[in-house]
Amino acid sequence: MNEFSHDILARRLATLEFEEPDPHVISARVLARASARRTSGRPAAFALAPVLLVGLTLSGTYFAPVFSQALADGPIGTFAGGLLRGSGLASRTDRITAMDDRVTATGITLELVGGYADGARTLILVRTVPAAYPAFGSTPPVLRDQFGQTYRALGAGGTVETGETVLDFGPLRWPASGVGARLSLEIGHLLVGGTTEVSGEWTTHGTLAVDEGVDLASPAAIDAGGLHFTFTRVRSYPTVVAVDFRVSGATELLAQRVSDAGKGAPFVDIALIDAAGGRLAILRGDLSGGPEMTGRWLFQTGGPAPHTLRITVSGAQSVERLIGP
Amino acid sequence: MATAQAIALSSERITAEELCARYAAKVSRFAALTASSRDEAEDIAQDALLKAVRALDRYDPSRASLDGWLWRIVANTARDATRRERVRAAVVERLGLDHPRSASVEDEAIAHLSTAEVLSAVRRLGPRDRELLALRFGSGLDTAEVGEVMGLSAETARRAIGRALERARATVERSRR
Repeated sequence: MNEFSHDILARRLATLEFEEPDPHVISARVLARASARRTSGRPAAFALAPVLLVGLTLSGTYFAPVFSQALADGPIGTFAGGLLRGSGLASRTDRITAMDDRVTATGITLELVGGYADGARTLILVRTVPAAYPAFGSTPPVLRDQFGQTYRALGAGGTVETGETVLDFGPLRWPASGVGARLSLEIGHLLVGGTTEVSGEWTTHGTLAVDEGVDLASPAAIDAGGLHFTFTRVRSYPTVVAVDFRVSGATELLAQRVSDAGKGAPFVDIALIDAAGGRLAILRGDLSGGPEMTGRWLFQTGGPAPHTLRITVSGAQSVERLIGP
Repeated sequence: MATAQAIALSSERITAEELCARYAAKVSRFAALTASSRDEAEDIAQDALLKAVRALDRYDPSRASLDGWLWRIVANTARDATRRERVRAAVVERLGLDHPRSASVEDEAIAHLSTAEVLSAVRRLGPRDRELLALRFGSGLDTAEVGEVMGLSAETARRAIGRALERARATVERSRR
């Protein structure tokens, strides 16, 4: 019984809408502080966090649809091998977490197939029937963790034949990155046949653990062709090596391509070479700021160590630095 | 992978994360009603939940319900915060029931108050009155549950909430003169 239902002030108070502290922000701060205190030496008398479910997601900037070559059965069953290779996951399918959630809207079924996350990126793998791409435009796909933090998709790669797509959301933020993430994937627009945009609500759920990385020694600075590179951090994850750097000087060269009879090779070539001379694919390069710019390269892991970072400016000599433990 | 605190609660296990997911919104609303500013409300909500999370391993379900246990922590945290404020309660409590007024006219006035005016009326009450109203109308607890948190019988809590509403109404009246 509500004994105050006759009281108009009580009714106003019960239904008052006003600005409150954001409970998601409050929760995130509380859990971060509580976790920080736990890691400072309290005895481990706690149960394990039950939030490690791996979803398989792929991410990467949109590139031309790749050929679909089925991968051997793994935690996610068959999935376009080209997409996994393009995302640096083909050799590390053991790090992929299978998810199994699906939703149907406006006649299209979107399946959340799986995911992978480390400190450098979060990859989400989806499949649609009939085949469609998650559209970007003004409302790209959004990932949301259990703390209310949202992540907009940075890019994707997909196949035309199978409707499989890898979405890249960048790294998960604390505390989700520390305790594991319960994720909601929200997609509002799909591109069918590459041209027809269909709107709907495709929201799926899965959980993901975040692979930890290991810091490697940062190499000495490099001067090449009017560019000065300083390396601030090198971190190795199960599937990528992340090289953080600052660059100054003729930074406009970084976006240029060589006029070489249509080949259009980059004016500044960045490569990570393994001990056998094999070139490890660069999966993503981020650059921002100015006049001194900061950036990150993500190289696919693999090949025998040690690895050599090589920077070649067209018309100038290559400069190399060893990267290793 | 970080570990999570978990306690046994009959057949229910609750982690720090689940505690926050279950109570953060209500604690935030409670804090917004008892605090005098949004910044203070954030501090109260955060401090209260953090205390609860850190005390999870000491919670004994045989001694209190989870709701009662948590809201006592929240109420105590709010009291600690308001004790640090300049006291306005004594002045406010002297207001009020001197002049009988028409219930219908007063209700009409209250119905047309802005949200800011209603909040202001609550925030100018003494700490105990704010706590009573925030627990009863901000956090969704019933009168008996409010009594459990405040250490009062259900009937005593009902009367205390009624008096707090009266004082809030008087505050509104005074502010509109």
